[in-house]
Amino acid sequence: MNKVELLAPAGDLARLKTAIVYGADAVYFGGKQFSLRSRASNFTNEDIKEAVEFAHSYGRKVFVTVNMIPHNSDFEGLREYLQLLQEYGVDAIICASGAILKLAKQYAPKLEVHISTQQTTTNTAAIEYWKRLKADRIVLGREISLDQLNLMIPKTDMPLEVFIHGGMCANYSGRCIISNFLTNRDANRGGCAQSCRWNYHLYKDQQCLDNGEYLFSLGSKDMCAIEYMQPLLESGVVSLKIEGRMKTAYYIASVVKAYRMMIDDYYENGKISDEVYNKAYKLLKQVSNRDTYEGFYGNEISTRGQIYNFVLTASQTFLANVIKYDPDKGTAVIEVRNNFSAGDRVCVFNPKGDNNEFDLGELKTLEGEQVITANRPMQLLEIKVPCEVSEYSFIKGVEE
Amino acid sequence: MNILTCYRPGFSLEALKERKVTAVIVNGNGFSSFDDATDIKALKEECEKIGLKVWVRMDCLYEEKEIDDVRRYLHYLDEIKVEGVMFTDLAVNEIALQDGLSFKRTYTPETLLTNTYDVSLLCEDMDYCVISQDITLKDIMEIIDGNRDRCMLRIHGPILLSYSKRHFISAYLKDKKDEYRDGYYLIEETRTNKMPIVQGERGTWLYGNVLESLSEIKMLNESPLAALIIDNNLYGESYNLAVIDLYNAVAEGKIDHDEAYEKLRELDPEIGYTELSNVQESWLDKESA
Repeated sequence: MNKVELLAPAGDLARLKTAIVYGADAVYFGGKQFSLRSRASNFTNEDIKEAVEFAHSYGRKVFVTVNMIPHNSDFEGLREYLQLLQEYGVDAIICASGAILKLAKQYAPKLEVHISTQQTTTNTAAIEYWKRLKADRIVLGREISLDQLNLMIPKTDMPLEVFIHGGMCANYSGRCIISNFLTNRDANRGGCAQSCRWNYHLYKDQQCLDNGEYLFSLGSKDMCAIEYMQPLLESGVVSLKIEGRMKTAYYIASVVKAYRMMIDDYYENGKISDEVYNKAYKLLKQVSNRDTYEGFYGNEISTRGQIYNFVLTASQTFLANVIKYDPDKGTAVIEVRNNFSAGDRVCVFNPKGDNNEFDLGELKTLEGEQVITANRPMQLLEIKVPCEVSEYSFIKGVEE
Repeated sequence: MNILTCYRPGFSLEALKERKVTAVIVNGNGFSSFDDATDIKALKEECEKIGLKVWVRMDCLYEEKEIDDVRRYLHYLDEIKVEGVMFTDLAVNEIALQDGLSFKRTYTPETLLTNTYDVSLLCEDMDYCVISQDITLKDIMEIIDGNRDRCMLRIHGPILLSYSKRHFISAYLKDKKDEYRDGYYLIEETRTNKMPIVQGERGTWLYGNVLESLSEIKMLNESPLAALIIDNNLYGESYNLAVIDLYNAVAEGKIDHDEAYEKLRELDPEIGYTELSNVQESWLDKESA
């Protein structure tokens, strides 16, 4: 049985390494040009080369997003860029333009070409178009329900990829220029201002229909398809994709680990056990900063997916990154991210295994000064740890 | 000028013909953003009598379960010999190719046709493409030059800002109704622009200002465009006819574009306009340009 691929996002090289160490089968990211998510750090050419070497050393794949909807001037340097990606050993590009696909097939034929969700492919007849152009995979529109997916898969031999987690466009991806219109920032070339999440007054003729509690918004809750994992694993899709190139390493680690556990459990035991589901659910819940729902996987066009009066909330469970581990002394240098104090109950979050809880002992600066409360973000402190940690470990708070 | 314009029930075909319109665009029943329940066969016969062609608008993305219905509908349109179909979903083109349907095919995804090369590639498989509205006039002219007689351009009408499967108005009003069509609009809380919004069974369409090309019409008319589209689907017949008159008058040199613009503003002072040549680095409306 071919195992489904878990595909994770990466905003920079550090997050790419985290995603891979925590169990992603493939990672996608953008270069400095030709990609959406312009506010993500994105990768220099040297980063891409290192990313490929790192991923391939773990037997994982690297996909580079070339998914802007290009204007004429955007084609300058594109051919050379595609050739460079091929030379570096990138496994695939994700693009939203037939012209880019054609360029890749002509000048960098070793690259697979995946058609981006920006094309909003929602049926097998549309897939046929991309098949004729020799696309290697289709990332389906996020509007596909599980029933529709199950109708599609027997009718096509095109490998299909679907989203399972992360931010949702309010509109069909690629079919939205609200940001261009209201802010001069072109969403289809990486400048989305998320104007869909703004507040609007709704009118009918001259009558204002504001409901008195909150204003109208197009904003969407995030997707969390945890309830649909088993049927998705059974469906025949080749790849399950996590959205979030702008997210932190801690978020990536948590989400990848959660879905990795479920996928592995399914392949080992034929189903996802309640125990694994509950652990995954808890991990995902801890890093959510918006309400979530199942996306369009249910059959209804749900009105539950909307979010109003939206305020982004940051996870408070993430306390520090581990920077360095000294196995002889059993100490770690950590980088402070959220407040905590000596004596707090915390845990180590590692790529494998359960969280390892312990009471924090002394907190010391690298100069040896004692600190009672760590409340300076990015400050480096030394702590004693009860187990092996690595640069990919995190220190988390323990929820009551 | 080869002008295509929208048709909704009650519009006078003769009035359109008098204004040198060559074809009407009618909403495909059950397969478009507006479902006007137009009898397209009867409309086709009426149009034929006065020398108007009929294009059918299918501006939706379709689910797998609908593909058989889409196929049946396309066969029906082929049987009644409509001039062509304007579609948003590539599925329409594939079905027409697979089944050897003979109507003309125009791809109008609104936001995706932003360069010469994609349009050229698509035109290998279909008759025409409608160029996106969110690109500069310079880019538009390059695309037209690189794809002579294969491009259509929406020169007047509300700019489609987004298309969603979601039922935004129902969700906000906590109402189970599927349809909210005429007269609904949004105003962003810190701005004044009215943004028309239409919700139907197939989702929600949000529009911005009306794009106008009075200053550019002479140049566009002389360019190798296949057709100019005046698409005031959201507004009434009298507005649509008056707009066509203004473009004809400017193209024929009867009035200059500034005078035409003043007259345009008088038609409905509530409508905000964006000039085609202002779609550059910014999207300014005419007043703030």
